[in-house]
Amino acid sequence: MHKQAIIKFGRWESTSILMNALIVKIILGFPQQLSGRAGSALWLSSLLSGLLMSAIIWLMVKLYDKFEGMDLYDIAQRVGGRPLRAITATLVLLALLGQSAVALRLAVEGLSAATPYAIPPLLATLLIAVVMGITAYRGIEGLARVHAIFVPAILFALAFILIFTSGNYRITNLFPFWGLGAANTVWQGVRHVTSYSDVLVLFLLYPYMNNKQQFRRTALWGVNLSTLFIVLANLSYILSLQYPECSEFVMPIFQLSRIITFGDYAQSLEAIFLPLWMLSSTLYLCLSFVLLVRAIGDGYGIQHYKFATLPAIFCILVLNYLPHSMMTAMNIGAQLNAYMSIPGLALPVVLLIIARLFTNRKEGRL
Amino acid sequence: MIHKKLTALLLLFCTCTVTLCGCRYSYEISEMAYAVALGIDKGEQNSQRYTLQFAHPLKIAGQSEEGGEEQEGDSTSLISTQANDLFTALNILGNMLSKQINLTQTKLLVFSSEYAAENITEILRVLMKNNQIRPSTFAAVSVVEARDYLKEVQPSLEANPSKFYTLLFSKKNSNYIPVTTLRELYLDVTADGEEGALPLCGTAQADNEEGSNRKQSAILGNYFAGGAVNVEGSETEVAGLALFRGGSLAALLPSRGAELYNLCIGTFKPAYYHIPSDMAEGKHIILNLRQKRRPVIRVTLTNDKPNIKISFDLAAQLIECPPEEYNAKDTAALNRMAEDTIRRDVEQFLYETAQTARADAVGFGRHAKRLFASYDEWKAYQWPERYSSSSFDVHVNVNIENDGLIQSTGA
Repeated sequence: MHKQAIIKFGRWESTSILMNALIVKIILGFPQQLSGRAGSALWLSSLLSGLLMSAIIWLMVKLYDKFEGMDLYDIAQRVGGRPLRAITATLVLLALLGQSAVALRLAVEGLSAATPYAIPPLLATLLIAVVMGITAYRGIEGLARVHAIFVPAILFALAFILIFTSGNYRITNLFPFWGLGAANTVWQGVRHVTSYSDVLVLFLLYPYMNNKQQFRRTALWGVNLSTLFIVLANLSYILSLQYPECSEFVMPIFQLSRIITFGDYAQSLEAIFLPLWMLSSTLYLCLSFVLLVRAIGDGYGIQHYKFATLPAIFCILVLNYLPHSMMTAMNIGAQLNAYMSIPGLALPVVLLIIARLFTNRKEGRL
Repeated sequence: MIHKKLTALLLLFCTCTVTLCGCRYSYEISEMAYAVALGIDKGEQNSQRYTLQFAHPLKIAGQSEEGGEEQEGDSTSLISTQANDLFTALNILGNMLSKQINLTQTKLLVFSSEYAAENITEILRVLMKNNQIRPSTFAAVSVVEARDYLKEVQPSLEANPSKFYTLLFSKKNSNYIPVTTLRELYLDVTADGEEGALPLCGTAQADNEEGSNRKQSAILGNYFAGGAVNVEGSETEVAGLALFRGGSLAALLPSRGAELYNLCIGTFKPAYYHIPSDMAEGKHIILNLRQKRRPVIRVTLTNDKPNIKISFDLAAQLIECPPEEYNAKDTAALNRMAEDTIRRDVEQFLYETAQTARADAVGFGRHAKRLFASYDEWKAYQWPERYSSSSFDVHVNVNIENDGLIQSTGA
């Protein structure tokens, strides 16, 4: 049924990949979007989302128990044959295409906004696109190694920002405790589980993992550690910037990094933010693009799928320029999150349940 | 294979060197005009007057201890124009100057009191979102035109105007002004439970014989910027508090008001505090007062009316005391006297700001938010309107720890 991937990478690499895919959202503006909807209970909603996601991933890992080494396409094929495999690949492809285009636009626009002397956006876009193309051509192995090196650096920079903004915290910003209402806080928590849709990468990378223990540990550690960073980032943001002003500013982590000072003179530490921004978004873009190109090969059974690299890059570049502004791109990104949750969360759960039922029937348990 | 890899590496290196490290988008420091202060006054026909004070890096280097060739002339220069908004003003001024205006080194924003009487929320939002202006830039209200204040400023004891403003407005040794940055002001002005407070600055005024009460008050250290008596050696002063309500200037308080404000928000630096003597008329007990911890604030609502309890814990050194007042064995009496005086002063400050200025400068509203479950309930309560009917319960605990045989200067 499925082809066993020859290249394998370790738990550190796989956890790094998953963490960056989840954490890039808070760097690209997730706290600002959520704060507009949850108010001062931003942290509470994000905690709820994290807890829900932890439960979902635990369930997914349990369901995946019988399908060691199989990615989402293999499971789709087991359930509905080649047509379902192709449908799944199409859904994944569309989600990754949209997400990559929006992430590319946000990465470049953010870079231009954060630097006083703007790098020409076109040059930055083209450079990132070239990197994405090379990565897709070279394959996932190098990318996994780069993740293993740079994701700890990204997490360190993020932790640095969160720790050193603590001097500006105002506990009273957490009140009113339920933000825009208790029911709304819970609803936003449930709704924002969709921001974890990039957990999809885990189900596409399973064939590269050594065994199911590695998959289980990657899933649980990756999601729970990411949740920790996401909740802390949201908490820091609301403690530093009260509602409703917190929903006014784009690039929340950048806003946090701007307020770090050591004494009267050591300032401008947002310089830390720029490599954080570029590294995290470039790694995410490369990963999405590699998976996108592989979706063409794995999903439709095309052997020479790498020829799709150039057309795919072209599509992303065209789509990337469709939104007229950064704000439009952010809004589209938020809507894409909801769509992304179909192949990222809903589809794996449904496919896994059906596949599990099939397996149980075959084994004579039902 | 090795040759191929080497060639690829070299190509990558050359590409990166040309595209990433080039000078195409770089700017030379000598091509920049660094503004150290920005003044905003009310202009004619609904416009504003924007004044930029520029630093001259070469002259600063010439005057500093580190050396450099001695340069003649001032280390700063001023340029101003009238415009509809800040960005039009920057366009106009940028067009006049040979160098490119850069706001990354701006340390001070000065609003004239006339301009601040209108709503400054929008300009604060614009400045906060500007990536050149730092959120840590100090802000102040000038009792004279902002342009006049900036014109008169002569950085003394410090050649670098940027450092001069940082030292002057971060005030590590005095409580005569609040220390407020652009970010803090923006957060306070836009908060529903706190109002903004800025330091007052102004130019030294000729002594006015008519205002004898004011003069009497000023010689005890209670004065507005520009109101200090017989000042020599400085053309400008900072002292006092500008209180905002809903983003507009609501009241000006003298330096004693700023001291009490600092005490209430927990940023009081160790400083000398005068307590009028009960027994020796015209004499004062002088304490070196220190805030042990931030004040404890409790807000409750009785019949929808805010009741605010605030408790201070202070330590003091006895610096000077008329012999009639001093009994080495009975510091408790001195403690009580200090507690009564400070309580009266704080109560007067709180009632005055609540009832006259109707501005919650201390931010009691932030504590009141705990009493509401949701933001809608909090908004419906209308704290800014109800705050003026608040009642205050002030508790002060002063502990005179010694009689100051070995005195700390408090600075």
